[in-house]
Amino acid sequence: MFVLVEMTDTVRIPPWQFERKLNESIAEELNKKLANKVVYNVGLCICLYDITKLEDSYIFPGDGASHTKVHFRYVVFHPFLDEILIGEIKSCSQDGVHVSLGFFDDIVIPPESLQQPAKFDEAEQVWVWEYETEEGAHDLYMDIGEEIRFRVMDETFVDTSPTGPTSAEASTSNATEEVQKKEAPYTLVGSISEPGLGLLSWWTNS
Amino acid sequence: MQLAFFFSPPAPSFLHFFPPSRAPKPLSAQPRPFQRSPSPWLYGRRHCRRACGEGKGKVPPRAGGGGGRPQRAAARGDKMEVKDANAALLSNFEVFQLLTDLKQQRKESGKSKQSSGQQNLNTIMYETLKYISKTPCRYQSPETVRDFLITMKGHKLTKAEKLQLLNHRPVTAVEIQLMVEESEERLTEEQIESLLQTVTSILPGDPEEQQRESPMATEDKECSLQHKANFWSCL
Repeated sequence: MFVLVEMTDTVRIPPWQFERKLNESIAEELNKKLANKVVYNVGLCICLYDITKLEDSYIFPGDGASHTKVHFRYVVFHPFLDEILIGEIKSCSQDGVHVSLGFFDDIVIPPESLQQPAKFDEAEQVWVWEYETEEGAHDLYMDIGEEIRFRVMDETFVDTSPTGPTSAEASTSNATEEVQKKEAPYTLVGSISEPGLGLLSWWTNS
Repeated sequence: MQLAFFFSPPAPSFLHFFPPSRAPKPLSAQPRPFQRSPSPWLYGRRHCRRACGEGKGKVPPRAGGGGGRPQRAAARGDKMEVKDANAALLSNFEVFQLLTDLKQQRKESGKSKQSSGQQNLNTIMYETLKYISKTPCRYQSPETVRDFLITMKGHKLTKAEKLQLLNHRPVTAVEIQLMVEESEERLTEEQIESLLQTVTSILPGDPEEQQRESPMATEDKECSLQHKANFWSCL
C-alpha cells in the first residue's frame, strides 16, 4: 500500500529559524510542502521517512534565507496493481460504489466490476448483489459504512496544476475550468467481481 | 486648487512595529520595485570592476555555487525531482511505527511549531493512524515480521504476495487465493493449509493472542533522522 519514494528538493529556511537545528527545520518544511498532497504520477504523500543527504546551504543576494538541496525519502500511498485493500463504503451512486480509506477517498468501483448480478436500488440508493442459492435469491445490500475488500484495477493521475489564463475563450473556459477543479488528482478504480471480494460480512465463517 | 485632497495628513507609520526586514518573503522572491532585473548585483560588480580597471573585458566569475537570486536557482532546474518513485515497499507495520514515533516526537517537543503549516501533516497522520490501527498491524512487532519473512522464504512467493499476507493476515483459503496469483496452479491444498497455519501462528491477530506477543523492541534512537534500512531491502 505504501512505498518509499526518493526525491530531491531545494528547501528554503528563513533567517528567523536559523537558531533551530537544520535537520528539524528541513523536516518541518518538507512535511509542510508535501504531506497530504498528491504528487503527479507518484501518489499521495504521507510523511517524511528520512533525510539521506544534505548538500551545502547557500544564501543568495536579495534574500536572507538559506537554500539547501536535500535528498530525502518520503512515504507515499501508492497501491500496486491488483493489490487487495480493505476500505469503507462511503456512498453509492449510478457510477458505482464509492469507497474510502479514511486518508484517501477517491476510490470507485464501477457497476460492471461488482459481483454479478447486481442492481441499483433507487429507493435506498444502494447497490445490491442478487446472490442466487438453492433456496432462492438473496439480496445482499452494500450499505454505507460497511467494510469492503476490493482489488485495485486501475489508477489515474490528473495534473491539477493551475493553467494560465486563456485570452480568447475567457468566458467559455470558465465553466470547464470549474469542472476541472473538482476533479481529484489521483483516483483508483477497484473491482469486487471475484470470490472473496466484497463486504467482509459476506465471506466470514460464522 | 484642491491640492489638499491629494496630500492628506501623514498616516501613522507602522514601520517601527513591523520592520520590513522581518516581513515573511514569498518562496519565489519577486524582484523589489527598486531593483532591476535580471540581477543588478552582477551588473554592479561588473561596473565596479571596469571602473577600477580590473578584469578588462572579462566577465567576473559568479561567487559561490549560486551567484544569483532564487529565481536563478529555479531556472537552473533545482526544482523538486523524483529520483525513484518506487525505491522500496513499506509494510503497514513500518508506516504505523513511523507515524507513532513521529506523533510521540511532536508531542514531546510541544506546540512550538506554527499550527497553520502543520495542519496537513496532522490530518494525514491522524487519518492514516486511524486506518492502520484497524488492521492486524497494530499487534505486530519487528521480531514477528522478521520471523514471518524468514518462514516465508520456503514458500516461494513474490514480494508483493508476502507483503499482502503480512498486511492482511488471511484466515481463510479464499483470501489466500485472492492474494496469491494463480494459487490453484502454484499451490496444492496442503500448501495452502500450511500457509494459513504459518500466517495465523506467527502473525498475532486477536487481542487474546496479544499476551503471547513480545513487547516492541525499543532500540536507543539517536537524534539523526536517518532510519535503518527497512525489512524489504534485505530480501
